[in-house]
Amino acid sequence: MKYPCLFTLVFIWFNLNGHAEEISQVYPGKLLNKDLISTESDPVIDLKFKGTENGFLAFKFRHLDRVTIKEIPIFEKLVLVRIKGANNEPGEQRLVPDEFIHGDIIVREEIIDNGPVASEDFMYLGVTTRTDLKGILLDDREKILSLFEDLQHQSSTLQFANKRLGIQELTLTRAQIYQELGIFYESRINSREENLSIGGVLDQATYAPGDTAKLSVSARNEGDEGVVYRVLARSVSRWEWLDGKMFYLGDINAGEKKLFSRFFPIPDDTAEGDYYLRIGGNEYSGAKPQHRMIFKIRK
Amino acid sequence: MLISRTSLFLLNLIILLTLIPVLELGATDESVDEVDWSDSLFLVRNILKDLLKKTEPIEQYKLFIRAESSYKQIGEVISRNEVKELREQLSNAFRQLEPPAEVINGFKLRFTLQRGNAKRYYLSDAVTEQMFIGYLNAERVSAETIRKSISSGSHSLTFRETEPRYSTSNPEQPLRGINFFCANDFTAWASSIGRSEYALPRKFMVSEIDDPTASYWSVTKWKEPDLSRRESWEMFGGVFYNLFLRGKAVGELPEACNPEVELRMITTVSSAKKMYLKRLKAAL
Repeated sequence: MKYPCLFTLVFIWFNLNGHAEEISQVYPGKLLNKDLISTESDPVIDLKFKGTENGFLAFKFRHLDRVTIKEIPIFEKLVLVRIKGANNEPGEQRLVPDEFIHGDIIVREEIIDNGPVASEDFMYLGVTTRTDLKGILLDDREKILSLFEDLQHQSSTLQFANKRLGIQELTLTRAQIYQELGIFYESRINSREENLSIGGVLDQATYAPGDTAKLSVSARNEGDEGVVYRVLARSVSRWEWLDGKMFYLGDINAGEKKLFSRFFPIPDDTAEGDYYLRIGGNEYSGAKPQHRMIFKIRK
Repeated sequence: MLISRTSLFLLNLIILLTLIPVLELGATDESVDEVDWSDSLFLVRNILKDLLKKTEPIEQYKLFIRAESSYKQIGEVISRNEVKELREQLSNAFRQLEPPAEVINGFKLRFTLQRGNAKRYYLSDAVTEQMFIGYLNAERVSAETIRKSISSGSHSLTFRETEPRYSTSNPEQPLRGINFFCANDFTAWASSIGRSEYALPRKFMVSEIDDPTASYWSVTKWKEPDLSRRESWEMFGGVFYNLFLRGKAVGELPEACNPEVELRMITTVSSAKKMYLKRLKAAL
């Protein structure tokens, strides 16, 4: 019995004097959770120019919620344990069970897509147009397009007003229109004027004053493979109501035909007769293909 | 010996008397030729001097025709210097002839003197359908071209494919509804066959002619006052011409066939004087 008691004493002495531990550092470990403190909702309307649909400039409206979220992160509690006095040792990392460290408050913003702004009336440039079920608004009365008939006009800030949703603003530039329509004048292409034909078709043979005529202008590339035509066209006429409407045909590859339609409201006081106009083309290489047309107005 | 000397003298005298008529005749013939051309030359010079003293244009033109006719007769026998001098005098006289108030050309189209601010010129009456079908038949203009070039319903022209020829049921009616291209082609054709200078009126003429009922094309391109519109027309290839429409100038596309538009031409004072001289010569 003498020896076991001695062994216990030696063990106690050794632990008290030679191998005592100390905690030198506390720090966060793995992120365990986040405690939500608050969320702030900020519903907004997202408005983007989407190029053309059915030959009209198209704008997409979506409901978005810009949510501001405040959270506190919760981490594991880790300690670093060393043998007392052994400061040069790396020590041992230990998880402290049932204890946690709370981090600083985190503020972040989250955009939540709440779907299209469907079937809503928006008023812009004196007209009211309704979005479809996909939230697409078509400039079907060509009010926006008409702003850019003046070739000097480079950008417009548009306001779309809805009684419930307020006013949405969008700055539209000529460059954006060209880009969406595939007209990149800053990059060179292999382009020639041969084998480019321009045509135009009216939706009726004759019109009455007050009617709206739809004119579809087409351009066909009958050239060889690899030849690309880059075409803008414009109506040219003595009559103001027929003059100056742009047809954004863009890049036309070999064998391809492109179509762009515009509407021509015929003034109520237009006299009977034949009204002449030209579709004047402007191709990247400088070619100006022409197509002659007549509007027949009968009462 | 005395008889013989007398006989010899008498013989010589008889021979001399016999030869005198022959010598005189020869001398007379030569002097007549000389008197004829010098008199004619003198006459032409005097006619040209007198010409400008006449106040009635018709008298001026009659004298000019006499002078020109005499010049043609003597032109080959007078000296080069005299020909040159006479030509200059004739040319000066032609320039100074009073322009007639109106002239009629080979198509029986009347041209009336217009005294504008800048220049005098002659403006024609409207070209009739009869005159126009002369051009269509001579140049064999296709019916398709006419369909595009003249407003349908504004004329009485018909095309018989069996012959093929154009005809009109209303020959004296002014041709109406013609576009610029066709009007311009007609004036070129008329100039080539009539050996006269015809053209469509110029813009300044259009603005000077005070006729609120007249409608016709001008040969001058329209300069659009709206700068941005003009720039876009240039960029997209639109070219417009001055159209004189019921007394007002407007810019119109050359392919436009306005049913009111007639075809009128202008000619120069010089061409008009030549036309007048031609008709007067034929009448004399």
